[in-house]
Amino acid sequence: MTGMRPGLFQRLAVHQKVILILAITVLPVLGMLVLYVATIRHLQAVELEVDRFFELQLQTEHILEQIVDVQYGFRGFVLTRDEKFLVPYYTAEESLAPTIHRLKEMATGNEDHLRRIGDLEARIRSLLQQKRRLIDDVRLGQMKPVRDYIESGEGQEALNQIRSALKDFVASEMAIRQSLQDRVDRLATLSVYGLAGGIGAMVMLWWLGGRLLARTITGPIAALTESAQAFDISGSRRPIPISSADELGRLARTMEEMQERVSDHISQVDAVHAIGKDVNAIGPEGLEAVLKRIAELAGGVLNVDLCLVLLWEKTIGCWKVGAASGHWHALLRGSVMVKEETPIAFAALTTGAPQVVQDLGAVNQVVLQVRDRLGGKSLLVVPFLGPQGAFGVLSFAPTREKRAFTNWDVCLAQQFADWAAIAILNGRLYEAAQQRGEGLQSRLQQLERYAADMAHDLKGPARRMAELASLLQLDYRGRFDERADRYLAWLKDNGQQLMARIEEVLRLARLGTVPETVEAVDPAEVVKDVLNGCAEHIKRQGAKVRMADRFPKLACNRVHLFQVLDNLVRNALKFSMEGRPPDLEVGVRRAGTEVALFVRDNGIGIPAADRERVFEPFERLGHKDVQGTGVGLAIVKKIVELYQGRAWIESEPGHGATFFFTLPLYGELPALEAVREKVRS
Amino acid sequence: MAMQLKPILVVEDDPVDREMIELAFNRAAVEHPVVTVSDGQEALDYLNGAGRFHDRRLEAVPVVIVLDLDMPRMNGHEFLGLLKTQPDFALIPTVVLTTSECNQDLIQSYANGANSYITKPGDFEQLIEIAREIGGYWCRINQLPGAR
Repeated sequence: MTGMRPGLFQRLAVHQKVILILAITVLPVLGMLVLYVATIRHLQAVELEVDRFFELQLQTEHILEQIVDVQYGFRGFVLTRDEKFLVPYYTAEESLAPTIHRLKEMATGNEDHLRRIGDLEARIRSLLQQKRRLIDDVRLGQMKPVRDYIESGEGQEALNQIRSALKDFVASEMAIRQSLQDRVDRLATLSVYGLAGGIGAMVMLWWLGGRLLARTITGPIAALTESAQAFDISGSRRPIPISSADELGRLARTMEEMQERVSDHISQVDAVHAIGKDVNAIGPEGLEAVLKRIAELAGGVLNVDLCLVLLWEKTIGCWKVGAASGHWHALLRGSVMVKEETPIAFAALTTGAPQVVQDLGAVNQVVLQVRDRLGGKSLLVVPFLGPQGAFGVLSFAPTREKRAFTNWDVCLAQQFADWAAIAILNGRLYEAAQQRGEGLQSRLQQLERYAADMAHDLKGPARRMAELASLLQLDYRGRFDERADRYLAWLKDNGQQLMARIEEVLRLARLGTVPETVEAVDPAEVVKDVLNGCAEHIKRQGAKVRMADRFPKLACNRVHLFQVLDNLVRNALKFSMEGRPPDLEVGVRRAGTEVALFVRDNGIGIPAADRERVFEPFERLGHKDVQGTGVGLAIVKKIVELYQGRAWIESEPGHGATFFFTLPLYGELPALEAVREKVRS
Repeated sequence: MAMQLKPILVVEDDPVDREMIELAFNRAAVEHPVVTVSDGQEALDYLNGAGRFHDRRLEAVPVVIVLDLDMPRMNGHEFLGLLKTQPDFALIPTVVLTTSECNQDLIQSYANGANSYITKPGDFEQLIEIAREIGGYWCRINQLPGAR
């Protein structure tokens, strides 16, 4: 097998190989057949020859008999002169010619035999002529020549010569027959060996043919089958082990290509799937960002530079560009396209089926937005399908060169569009929910406003109550008894307390309702203002206050920072440990990128469980005896959160607490600008 | 006194406040008479001698207007805005006397041309003090155009 010349054999086509194999297999049968036909023909020839030989023998013996009869008849005639002894002579004279003719016929083609027959004929004729002359002499009574003839023994000698010639002739014929017989014997032997050899060769060649058949046809088919069965999208491609150049080899190459294509396609589908899922993730940016992502990612799917997300606006009957890829986005987003100038997209919308135009230049349309305004060379439009039919389209318009979109492209684009459609619908739902949420938010704000209004309305009566009480105290002092004076004093105090609390609540409610100017604020100055405001308090409590030498400038509203620090300082003074004068520190702590201001005290501290709650309004955590409205820390938290900062507490109960808060640093913005400048230059 | 002193115009919707403010000016011994109206519209009517003030004396233009902010019909801010559009009365000093401590109210009042902003105290004695200060500063110390 391996001894075969694989190069030549591998180049053959399958049908040629099959012919070759058949030829190899049938060849010995043919050889044997030829051998047998030859043998049979020889046997036939030998048989004919044997027949001829017997005939020949018969004829020659007949001739000899006649000659002998002639001899004896002649003798009888000579002795008796009776004519009846001449009958053999006449018979012989009569039958000689046909007999000789018959012999010649049988010896046709053999010159030697013909010559021998001619010689024999001549001898017989000369013998017969001599006898006739002698017969005539006898009839005339001249006996002397006859006596001489008989005495000489001439007749006997002639007879002997003829006999010998005939014998030679027969012997020669015999030799011919024998040689034929020998050939037939040899052929028979040969055919026996030929049969054995032929069967052996046949078995060999059949085995060879079988192996060749297996190698060229069944082997490759098995390999193909195995490869087809082993085909796995994720696995690595192994070449099919068929190296021949025939149909099966080509089939193997085709199958490899097909597998390659299939796995390519599957990976593309996977990519589209992944992209689709990515598109579907709605970020905080909402629908707008989803549309933009769709436009950008769509370009990647088919490697097309211009992708448009067109949304059909039913109410106005035209397209709105939801998003576009690359720099087109800023140019086109939100713009409107009329359907007359976008017939292909409109067709995709109404039919719900993808539309492909390979050459936009060949489209017979006066104005085509995508061609005339955007420079698209080809166009593929796939619809966004929703539960109520198509609601928009995704357009792929390569602007650099024409492109023949394949069925596979269309399929991919449509699949992507299906994902995108879900994303858009989800985005719309999300937006609607957002808006509902915002509605809720605004209702909440409205409620807050009502509460604030109510508080505002309450403040007037509270104040009037206090004022009236103090008016009574002033004008009617001494006219009531001592108890009434005390009650009046309480009435005034309670009215004033009510006023103060309402004012605090109003302050909390007012935070963030109006835009405040943000400026660069030096916390050091604000801290000084705060401490001045509390100076009396500090003095009364014998408090010590330390303050950092330098603070980073903050970008915020000055009043806000004042409110934060004021509330924290007052809070720290308020919750001091009994018998321990407050020791306060106002400073800065930098941790990583975060810069936090803090107010530290040595007061009663706050247990871990309450560190969140203290920032809620009206949570005074069981210190009812401590004066205050309970909104101070809520104000701090609200202000800090206005600036997306945070406020938190670190504390060891019994050893004081530290209140931290972060506000935007002023330094960051100019620094960033400087960096940008540097990059630009 | 030969010539009647110009009045102090108190614009206040709440009757209790009206009475107490009037009383406070009285206790503070402010000589100027106090005229009270209940909202911005009435205040304008008074200035223009319209409505129930059609027979107001011509010379009785207020020396100072004491203005509440939160009022029905026409509130203090609206009144201030309109007052400053009237050339005859635009220069009359206006003292806002209100319950509100809201920064926004302060800003808007000054922006509309208020000359002073005082929060109502919740103590009558302090109210008398405020009345005394207004009477002393705006009615005596402060000099006004065309007053001599």
